[in-house]
Amino acid sequence: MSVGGRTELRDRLGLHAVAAALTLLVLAPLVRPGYVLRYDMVFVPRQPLRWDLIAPGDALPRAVPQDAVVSLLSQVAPGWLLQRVALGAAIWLAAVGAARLVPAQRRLTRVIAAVGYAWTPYLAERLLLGQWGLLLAYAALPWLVAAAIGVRTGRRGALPRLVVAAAAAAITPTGGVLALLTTVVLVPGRRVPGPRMTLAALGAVAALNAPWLAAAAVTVAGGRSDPLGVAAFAARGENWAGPLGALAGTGGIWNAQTTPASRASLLVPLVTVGLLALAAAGFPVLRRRWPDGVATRLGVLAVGAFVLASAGVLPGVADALRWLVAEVPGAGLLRDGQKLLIPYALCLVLCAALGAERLAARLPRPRDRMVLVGLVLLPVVVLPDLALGAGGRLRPVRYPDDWRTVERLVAADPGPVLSLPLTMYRSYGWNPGTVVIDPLPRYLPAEVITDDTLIVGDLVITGENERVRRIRALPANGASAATSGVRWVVVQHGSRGAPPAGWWTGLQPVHSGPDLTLYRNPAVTPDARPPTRGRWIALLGAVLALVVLGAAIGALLRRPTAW
Amino acid sequence: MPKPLTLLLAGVVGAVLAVLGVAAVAPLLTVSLQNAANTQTAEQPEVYGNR
Repeated sequence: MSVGGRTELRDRLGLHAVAAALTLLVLAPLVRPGYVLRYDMVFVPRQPLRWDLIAPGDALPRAVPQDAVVSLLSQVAPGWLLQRVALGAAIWLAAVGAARLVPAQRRLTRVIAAVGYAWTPYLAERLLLGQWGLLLAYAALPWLVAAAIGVRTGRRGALPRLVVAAAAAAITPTGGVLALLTTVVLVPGRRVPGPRMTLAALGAVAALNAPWLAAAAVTVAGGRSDPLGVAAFAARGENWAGPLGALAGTGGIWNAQTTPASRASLLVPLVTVGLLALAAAGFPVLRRRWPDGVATRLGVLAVGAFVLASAGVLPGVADALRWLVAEVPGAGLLRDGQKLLIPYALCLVLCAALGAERLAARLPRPRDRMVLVGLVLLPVVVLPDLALGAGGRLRPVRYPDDWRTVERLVAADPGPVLSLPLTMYRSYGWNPGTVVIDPLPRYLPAEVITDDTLIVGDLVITGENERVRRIRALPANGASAATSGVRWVVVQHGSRGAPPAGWWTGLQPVHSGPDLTLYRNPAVTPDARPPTRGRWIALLGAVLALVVLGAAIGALLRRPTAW
Repeated sequence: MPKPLTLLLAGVVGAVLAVLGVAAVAPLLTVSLQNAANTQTAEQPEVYGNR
């Protein structure tokens, strides 16, 4: 191996070492056994592969194809391992991706980009909200941008790399849309890559969105959402700088309970201003070092992301957003705008790293290194509570034995399950200090009906599931759960709220444990199946995406140096 | 032996990081104290979050 080759290998290994250190520092508590169950993050021992996870018949496809991917992988790996791989990959790939993408002339600049992108308020807040699928999109974006640059410059193998990166992002609808927007903005060019390559790239990334688009087309939930969600999920101020200041620093998530406490520091806005100044100094460097026009396009994408993220708090724009969410199917994707900040976060980090390099170039040795090392440490110093599982908030727990018992009973006599009390998020004594979306739908080998009403503070955001609405109305009409059309009813003890007394008429108790009680409904036959409307269309969407991804992976494997 | 200006810069970088670190940790302590006296999550388990 040549000296240059050895240096490059050493640099790459160094970046992976930095990424490994960051991943371990954040996820250290996950060395303990169990499952981290927080907000939207649920992993179970073995997630079954069911139709309603590929295409929810009564609900919007918010976890499509994420649930189907987990279910497929669950056939070969346990849930606890999948969770650790998913979370570890999100941090590791974010760090390495940003480090490789930044067109740096110094090793320390790459380290600044790695630490800067893997240690952002955005990552911390979405991790605490349990949105691991979105974090995979966050991690995929630098790789996607690198591949898009490769497509524009005619690099061999760039298109399949773009497809693989976009596939990782498209594990959630939001990530899929971001991947498509990034491709639309970055790839097309007058001469290079040419119309055929451009169309191939756009078509492939659009096809990766097919699973959730097909599922959305066949669900009976419609696609319109409660406009109250705009106020509930609008960006939130975290300190004296308000929501726009929080967004500028890549924070500003709507939920105060998933915001790291350090974001309230009086000095955070000053750090944000400093970062923006560095980024302003670094942007011309990015423009100079990247192929013609790419930096400007990324800048446009970043500004667009910031505008969308702040739409919910801008007077006038928020009204328009409310109308969109209420009237336009699918526009509900925009109500939690802060999650769309990903391109802004990447652009900010890349430019700030290059700004740091530019600043260091004006200083003699070893003062230049001192400043760069200080900037490497800055993200961790300003956001110390991301370390060690976000200050101990990522805590693995075990499911009580009752869950396994109920799973076995339902598996022996499968049929639709109603989860009571009717509430979407639950707090359990065995999972202290947090709420989590009801894990039963992913735990049991049958369709589970849960509530889809979201409560944010005093705001009640109505869900889209008509079936749940009908079931909720049963007690008021004097009907029992036996008329709800489900085979099983599970009561989760310890959750707030209690079903009315007459609710149990006609049901047979089958299991009564400290955590769960299971009732059988003899009025519904065991072979009752969930609605089958349009499920083949949804499956077609998933297969289309799989074929595109498989073709891309095949093309990469045929190349001697794939990545 | 590092030059005085280099030592001065090292001191400035270290001091800035130390001040930022202390400022970032201060809200953590406040929140810990609040949490000790606050059982809001336990009382409202079905709430997705609070603004």
